[in-house]
Amino acid sequence: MNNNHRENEFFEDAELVRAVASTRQKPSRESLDRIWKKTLAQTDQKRPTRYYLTALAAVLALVLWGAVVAAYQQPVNSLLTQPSSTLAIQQLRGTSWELALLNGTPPGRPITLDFPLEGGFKGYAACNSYTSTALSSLSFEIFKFAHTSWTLVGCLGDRAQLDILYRQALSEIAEYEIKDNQLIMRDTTGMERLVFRQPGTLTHIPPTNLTPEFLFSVTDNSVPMLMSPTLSISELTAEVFPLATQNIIMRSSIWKLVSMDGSPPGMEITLSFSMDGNFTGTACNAYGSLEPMWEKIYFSRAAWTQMECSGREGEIEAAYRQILNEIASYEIRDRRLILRDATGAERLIFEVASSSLTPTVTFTPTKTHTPNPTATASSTYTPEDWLRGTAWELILLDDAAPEMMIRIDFPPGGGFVGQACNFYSSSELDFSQAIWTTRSCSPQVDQVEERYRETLSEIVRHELRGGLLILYDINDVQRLVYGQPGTINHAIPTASVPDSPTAVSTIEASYIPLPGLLIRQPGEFPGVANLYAMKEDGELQHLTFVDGLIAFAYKAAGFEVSPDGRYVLYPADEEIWMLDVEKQTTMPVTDTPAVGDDFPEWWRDGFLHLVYEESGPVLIFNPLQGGEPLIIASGVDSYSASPDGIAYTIHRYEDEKWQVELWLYQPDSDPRQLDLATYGLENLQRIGDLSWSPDGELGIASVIENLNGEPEAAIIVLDIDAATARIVKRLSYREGNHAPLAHSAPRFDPQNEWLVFYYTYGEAEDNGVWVELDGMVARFNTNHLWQEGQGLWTWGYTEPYISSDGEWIILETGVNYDKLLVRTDDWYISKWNGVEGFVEGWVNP
Amino acid sequence: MSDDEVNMLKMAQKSPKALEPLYIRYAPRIYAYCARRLPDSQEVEDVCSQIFVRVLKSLNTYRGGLVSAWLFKIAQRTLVDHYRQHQKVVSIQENDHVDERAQWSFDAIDADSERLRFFQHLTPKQAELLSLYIDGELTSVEIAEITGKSSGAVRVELHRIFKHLRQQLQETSL
Repeated sequence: MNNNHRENEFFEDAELVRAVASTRQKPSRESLDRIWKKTLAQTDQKRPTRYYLTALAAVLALVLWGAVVAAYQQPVNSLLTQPSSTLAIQQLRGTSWELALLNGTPPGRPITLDFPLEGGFKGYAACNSYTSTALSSLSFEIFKFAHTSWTLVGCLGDRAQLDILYRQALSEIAEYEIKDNQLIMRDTTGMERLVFRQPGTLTHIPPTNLTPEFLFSVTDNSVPMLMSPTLSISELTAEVFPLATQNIIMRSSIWKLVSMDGSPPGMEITLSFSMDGNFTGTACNAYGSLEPMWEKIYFSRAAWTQMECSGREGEIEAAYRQILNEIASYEIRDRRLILRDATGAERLIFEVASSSLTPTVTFTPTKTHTPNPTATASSTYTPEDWLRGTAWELILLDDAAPEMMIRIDFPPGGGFVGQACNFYSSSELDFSQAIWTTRSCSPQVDQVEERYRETLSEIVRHELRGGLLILYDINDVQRLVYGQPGTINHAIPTASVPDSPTAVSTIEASYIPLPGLLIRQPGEFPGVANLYAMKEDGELQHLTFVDGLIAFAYKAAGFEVSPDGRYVLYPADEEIWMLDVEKQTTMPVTDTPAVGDDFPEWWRDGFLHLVYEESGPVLIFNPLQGGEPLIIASGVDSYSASPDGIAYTIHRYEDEKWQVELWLYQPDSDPRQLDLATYGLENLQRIGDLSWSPDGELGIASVIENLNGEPEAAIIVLDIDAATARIVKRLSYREGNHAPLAHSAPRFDPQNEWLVFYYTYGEAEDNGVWVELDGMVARFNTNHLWQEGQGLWTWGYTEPYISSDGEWIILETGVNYDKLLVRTDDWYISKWNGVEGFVEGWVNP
Repeated sequence: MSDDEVNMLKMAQKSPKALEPLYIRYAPRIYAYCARRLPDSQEVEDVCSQIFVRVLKSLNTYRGGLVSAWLFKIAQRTLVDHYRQHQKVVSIQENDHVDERAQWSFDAIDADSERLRFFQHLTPKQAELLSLYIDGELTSVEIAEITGKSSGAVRVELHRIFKHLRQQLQETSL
């Protein structure tokens, strides 16, 4: 992390920090140059040895492989590794594969992938052959489009479709696994995109009516040839397309051109945005980006195929290409994508390409609930198997895009789980038997959800085709169509999209006013900040200027909003201060000049806080209505108090171990400590970030237990009255990491209807926003909101701040502390931009 | 840390020189971290070079997380190895895999040295934490990832360290 992120991190004794820092040794430029040269020299010296060993290992592996194959006649992949492990790609050397499943569906034609011993890879993809130019590949980066050469054969019908889908899938591969003699390749979401088997074990049955509905709409006269980096690239122009693919509503969306300079285009022209940051499309020729464009889209950098197009279509395409090069901004309004040039003129208007997904055009229900036609006799695959481990988002509800996000996931264990406003699930793959939670939602959302519930109850069978999941009713009518998560705009509030014809950036497009949000904007110097509250119109109202904050990299310590939202406690200048939000005044509420005060929390008719005495930290209660401060406990490292003023937990850190104590406080008697063993928590190792339900009866925390000698992490709920603890969710945990303790920060909503926690460390299947509602626990994957490496593996270090009405959850996560906003009405998740600074809570100004 | 640092690691797998931007960003901090423990500048340069050689050799072991924390973990281990070889370097690491003998050894360096003016008043673990904070210019979040503690615990500990140092400052002529 560079210094910019750290400029606010200091401790109250800034003078001392500077004094210590003055003893720091700084290297000279010459010294750094010498180190770097020496590093490179040592690396170069080691190379021959390393390469020699690699080559030797390859030879040995080849000999071993040959010997074992000869001896046992087993397939090579049985030697490669244990199941369920992700391998170095070099270990695939010398193997050959044939595609069995493409996006969950048998391809119907031979598609091969070979890994020659000399490096790289090659194969045949139904239409074109391909080969890797990266001979000494280290990772799956080699599958990226730019590293692969493809032949330029033009194909018709399903061969062209397969070719496109295959290369799309190949370019999105992030990991692979060899399991049960299959090579399984997954994308960054963990979805199985490609499944290969040993050559010769498959029979291919070409599909009878495979229309290219998924990526491209192909007319008789427009055959999509395939893109290649060797084709022409339009000249780069200065225009940029601002931040489009960062926006969830642009991800994996498929658009169809309806207006070009104010007139119908006169031919089918499409534009698609994929999850990997690329765009593709078809006119007469096919076109697309050569590399992911995360920050900005440059349509002018598209590569186009060079098929000659006759007459009118050629002219239309030329005009389209010219306009595309002049695009400078976009807007999404009323389910339309509007592209404008630098003058603001609307040049191209697209609609969501749902019409190409109607049942009359595309889907044939011939294969559902029949054995996998390409499986061998010993195969155990059934259609349900294909669904397992996949996640989907509703694209069409009775031929129309739903006005809210509706998800359905198929866990590896069987059945399904999903969410609209409520959650639903079933342990069986019987859509009519879904069990729903009973949360009340807004009228509009209720209406959509009810339609979905009714429709789902009428489903009798499903089908996977062209990367889509399609559900049919008893009359064989297609009722529900699902695509990859993040596919379509689910009615972002209209306030988010200005009507002005000026360029619309993501900052504006994802900006939703959040009245009452407490924002801290760091000042020029450490510990200095301005506090603001957001008004109804989204403007920030200045509350106060604060100095002497204990501020860390991004988080100022200890802003605590009172239960009524009118006051804020915070530590500054080694005292606790209180801000009156309405009057915009501040005053110190402690007076202990010789010691530091920190970690305030509202409690009873005052607040608790820690005082750092010489003997150690002491937990003290300060009544605000008069009276002397009261010592609650000594040796406290952290604590958490229930809002009803009854219970509090104390965490002590002694001898490198955390000790957790739970106490009940009665005003007229001594505090009483509860035995955590009675809660079934005798194996508790650590407890993190305990918080309370609004009525103070339930505590929720992330914990680490020692079970059978192994640490296990979980989110648990403590019921104080019943003296019980229940596990909400077990989370992946690796020894050495302190996740989930530092990350999950589970919270109850203000109405105590649901609870939420965020997890973004560890195995991918755990990452995301988790919600428990009516006993069901659902995860909302947020991986699609981040670029690779930004959100998935990095820190989500914030508590979920929930608005007082429970409508919004906001949290900061990822390396750039991006703000992630959840609309709890339908659990729609998006990034939230537009305000500089950090969220510190919600107030009621 | 940003995704550009992850990309630098990926690029460096193809060419070690691609690590240079990351080196420029982190080398002064790793140098300062090493120099706090090593008395001789030549030795500091040698160890720093060893650290970055190890970084280049370990690129395929990066499994996500903060790049800064990953680099400093490698720096810690390299210093421990150096200690084992020369018995005069210091490191603190709570993880089991780090040699328990590896401690801040103030005897090895002139105790009057300016670089140890504050550190010699701390326990080895406190000294390590302070060095990561001051020399490594790391945040509490980054230090937490290195040490396996929560950032809150790091923050509390740093709070105590500075309080202790202030006391020392007032009570002695520190």
